[in-house]
Amino acid sequence: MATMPRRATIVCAILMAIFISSDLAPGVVSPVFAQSGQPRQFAVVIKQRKVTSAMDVISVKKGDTVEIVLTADEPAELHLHGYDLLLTLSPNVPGKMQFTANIAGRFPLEAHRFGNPAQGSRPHGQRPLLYVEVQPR
Amino acid sequence: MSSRILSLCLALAALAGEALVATQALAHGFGQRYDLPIPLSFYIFGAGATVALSFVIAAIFLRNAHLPETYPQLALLCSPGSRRWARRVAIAVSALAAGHFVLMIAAGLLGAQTPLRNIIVVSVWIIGWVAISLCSALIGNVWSVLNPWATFFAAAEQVYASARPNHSMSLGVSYPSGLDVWPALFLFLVFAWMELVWGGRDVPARLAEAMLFYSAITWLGMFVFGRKIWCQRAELFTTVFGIFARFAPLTSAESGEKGAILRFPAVGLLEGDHRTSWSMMLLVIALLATVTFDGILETPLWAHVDTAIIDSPDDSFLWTVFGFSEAAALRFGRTIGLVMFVMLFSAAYLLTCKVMAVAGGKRYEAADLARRFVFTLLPISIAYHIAHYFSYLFNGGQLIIPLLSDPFGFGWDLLGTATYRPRIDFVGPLWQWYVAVGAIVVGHVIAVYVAHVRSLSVFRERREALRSQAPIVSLMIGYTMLSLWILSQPIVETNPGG
Repeated sequence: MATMPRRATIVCAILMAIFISSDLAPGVVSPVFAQSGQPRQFAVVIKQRKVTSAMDVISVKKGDTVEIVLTADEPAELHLHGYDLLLTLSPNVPGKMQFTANIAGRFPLEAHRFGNPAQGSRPHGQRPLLYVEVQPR
Repeated sequence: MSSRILSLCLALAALAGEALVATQALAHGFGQRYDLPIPLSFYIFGAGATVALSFVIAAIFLRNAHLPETYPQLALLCSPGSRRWARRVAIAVSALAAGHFVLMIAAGLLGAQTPLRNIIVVSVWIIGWVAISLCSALIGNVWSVLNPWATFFAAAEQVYASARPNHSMSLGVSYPSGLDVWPALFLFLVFAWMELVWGGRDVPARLAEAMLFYSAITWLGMFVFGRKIWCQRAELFTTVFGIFARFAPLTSAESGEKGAILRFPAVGLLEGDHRTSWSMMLLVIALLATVTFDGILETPLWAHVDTAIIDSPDDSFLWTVFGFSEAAALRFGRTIGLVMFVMLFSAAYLLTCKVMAVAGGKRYEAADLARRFVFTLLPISIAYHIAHYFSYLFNGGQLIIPLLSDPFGFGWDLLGTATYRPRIDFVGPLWQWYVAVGAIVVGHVIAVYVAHVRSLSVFRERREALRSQAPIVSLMIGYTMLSLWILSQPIVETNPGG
């Protein structure tokens, strides 16, 4: 029994080591990649008010330049929350959302309206089309 | 019993349907959080530290550690002059809070009906619920000064007393002792439902009406039974913030010479009457359950529940018997979930107490232990509350800055801050992760410690006390893991819309 606190301290120390090595190290390395300056590009196709690809999260690093090219099969008004970007799409014409990911967080990309402005409606009870996750460095 | 629960569910479902008619789809939902889930490394560290530290504390107690008889305290406001000064500040703060209360209701009824342009929505949910509950737990019982219902009633009492000396304004009916804090428990469940499910929660006029309705109940209760007793037993915010404040480092002194006492956090949980009433026990459990359920609602797990509800076949009872719209069905699901979650928490806790009673040598009844140990779980709940709301409080709470200049949404600029745009990265993900996991681990350690100390005072024999710890510490580990798991889940917006 006497060894128990010591053992637990060792366990804690090991956990701490894993924690620090797994988490802080990438933060040190990744700015090297960021300097390449290439925009991160993503293509998103919306059919029947849903994103067709399996990808429902776009993940980038803070500081990246991001380009999301969106195409929908009907008129749509899209909104990237947090960054507050609006994009109005005509049917089957690609539109681009471009921004520098300078705020870390998880931001929903939502359709505020599908269909024509006159009769179009906001889809009730529907979840965002996808999320943009900006990971901190 | 089950029929009573069923009828409660049906009543709540009916309310949900009714609330729905009045709401409308909003482009910018209130209460949006942009938090990233905690990464795997934080999750593993938190989980590992939780288990390891539980063993460390157990080992320390096994090795015959001496319990401190008393904990160090620091008396504050010891001179009459400083107490007089503190009282003046308290009166000023009470008056400000009362003024803000009137402003909220006026804005709710008369102002713009957009949640982010009307001061009432931010004031109720971010300031009134999140900020005050965290201040209660981490500073002291601030509600005793802020409580606008008590302030107005006390002011009315003063006026009455000056007009008719030696007469009491309230009827002075004696509060039935069997009623205990059951009214507060009932009102808290209604409040939790409003916070988590109700469609009117971000509609200013609905909120103002709800506040007026609650004011009527509160003032009537104070009039019939007296202000103090009604606050202690039935005013849900006094009781709930009072529960949080038991953990707080600051407390007002009971008697004469000292004004306030600074103590270690959580030692307040070890003081006073060791056996709480049934209603108080259930109120604490309900508090723990609803705080956690709030997090569950944003996980992909609940998103699956929502999807299942929406995708249920056309001949499902949801549409045929109840005639729900999609959003009403989603609210119905949440209402059932909330009730089930409170019952699940209660069952898990009572079962643990049963095992504790057996492990502790059967000298105590499980029911008796349940009433003695319930407050030991509170630190974990407070920790989760911090983890869940830390970034939201500072990022979302900034909304109050422009709203103070334009509370009605009429385009005013009273303080010159109307154009302030909140910085949504004021608290970034790294800070949020460290604070969240740090709070969870520290909260767990405090809970395990408090449970050990409590067991040594409850059980007569040391060995029984230590044996009784395995079940409750297991429950605590499970509860903490649940908190960590929720934090590791990406937030999925599941607001049922209009």
